[in-house]
Amino acid sequence: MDYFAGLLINGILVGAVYSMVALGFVLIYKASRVLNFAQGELLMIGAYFCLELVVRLEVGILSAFILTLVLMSVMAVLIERLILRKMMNAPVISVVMVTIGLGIMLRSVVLLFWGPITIHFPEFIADVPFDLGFVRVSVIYIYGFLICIAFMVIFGLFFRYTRTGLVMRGAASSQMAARSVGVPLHMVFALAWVVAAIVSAAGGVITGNIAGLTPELSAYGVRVFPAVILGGLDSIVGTTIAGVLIGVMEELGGGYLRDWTGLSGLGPVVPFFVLIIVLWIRPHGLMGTKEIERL
Amino acid sequence: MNEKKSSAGLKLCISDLSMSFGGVQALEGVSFEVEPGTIHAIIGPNGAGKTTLINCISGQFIPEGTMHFGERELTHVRAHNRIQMGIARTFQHVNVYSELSVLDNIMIGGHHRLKSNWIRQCLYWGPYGCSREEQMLQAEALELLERLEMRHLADSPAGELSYGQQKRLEVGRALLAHPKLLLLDEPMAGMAKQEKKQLSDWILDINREMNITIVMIEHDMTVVQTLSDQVVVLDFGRKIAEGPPQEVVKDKRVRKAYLGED
Repeated sequence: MDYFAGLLINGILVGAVYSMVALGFVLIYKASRVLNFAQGELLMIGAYFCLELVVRLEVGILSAFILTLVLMSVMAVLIERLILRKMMNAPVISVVMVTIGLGIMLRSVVLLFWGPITIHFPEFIADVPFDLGFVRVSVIYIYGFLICIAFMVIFGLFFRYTRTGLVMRGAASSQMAARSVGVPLHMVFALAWVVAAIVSAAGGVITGNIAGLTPELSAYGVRVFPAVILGGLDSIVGTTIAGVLIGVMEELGGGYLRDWTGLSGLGPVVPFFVLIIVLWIRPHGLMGTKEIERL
Repeated sequence: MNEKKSSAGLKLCISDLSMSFGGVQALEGVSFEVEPGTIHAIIGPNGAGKTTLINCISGQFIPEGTMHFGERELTHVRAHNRIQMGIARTFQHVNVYSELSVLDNIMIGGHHRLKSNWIRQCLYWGPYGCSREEQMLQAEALELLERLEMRHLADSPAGELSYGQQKRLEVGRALLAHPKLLLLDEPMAGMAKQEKKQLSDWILDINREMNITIVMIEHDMTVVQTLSDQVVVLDFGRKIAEGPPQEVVKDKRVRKAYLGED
């Protein structure tokens, strides 16, 4: 029972990071219908930025974290302005290819400057296990979890209560109507990229602190994908729930499969199996928009 | 931008407008003028280029030819900037933000009138800490909903409204932008007789009381005849007739193209 509870709690903690990163993916999709396959690479490059600031420039972790978010926002605006703006009316598949290309480019930059080795952040918090009563978890997981929740709450409030958030939701709902009332769509797209880059980078820094940094971090983009699809591609609430579910599935699946088969590392496969089954039953995901096509 | 100068109204001059999509010539050398303060109807069979014309005026498409609104050349003004010049529109297929509340839908219409830029707008927090100008905008939005007889629906998601209500909501959203020129794309399509009557009266009010020039696409000839001062008839992208409604319906080519007579 404790084994199960331990896996479950770990899954939820890891899943929060998935939720947050998936949120970035969904935001860009909702605002501009772009499927951003470079989401994982944004996470990776954010983590390396932070590492560089901390290790080489000896900035304090908190300042480094905030500075990373600022740097990533600038990068997001540049990516949107220089690359994706030109693709505004291009077919979906071309845009997908461009984001995949962007991902490859960012990965190459990391390989070029930092190499393929695993680099560890200096330890900021003594890695003492935190006793929840029935199960112990590493403190850094708890911090990561709290940061994710904070980010999601902040962005949730932003979209719910600010005028800019309202305009962005409007643009996501109908671009044509938004333009007709004077919403500059390019601003909305740029802002969506900024938010996506911020949540990705935050996720990267958290994951980097837990497991160390390698170019493999970019695989996160693929790992949050089931959350995005399961959530329904355009539902923020759905994606948040799905992110946590994916984390739990990975941990539980990974844990029990290791016991039964003796093979480790099977965890990340489990969500994809579940994804296939869910999509059989609900092709539009758990909470996505059901598209009705008229022929 | 200069809303207060709007009382004089601006003339819309369309001249030699052409637009093609691939091999299809949607508009071909269309010219006409809309005097300030009038109601102009655009009629014609399906595929005549009516919606394309509205899309050109509102900036969704960039046509060949010239369009002037007052002194200003419109053709290369970007779509989202045309609202500041005083041009607002509604859509043929309802285009409300179905996930947002009715009030939010209307409020977005007035978005461009807020002076604070978007960074400052991020700092105002919803109903609890919004700025003075936002409070005024909200009051105006509620008043408009009252006139639309939709005040009690302010908090419901727009997607749950009936078709006719969504159409009215779109008009409301466009009105909150304080336009000088309002483009209506089949505002009454799919409405019952009673609803049509109501909306017709309301369009007259908008035109007279608020002094807004209206260009509308409409199929219902009774509506066209009661509302419009001038009618432009399109067929296969060309203007085939123009004039007061009573004269236009007598035109031979119009009867042939539109009313299906030999």
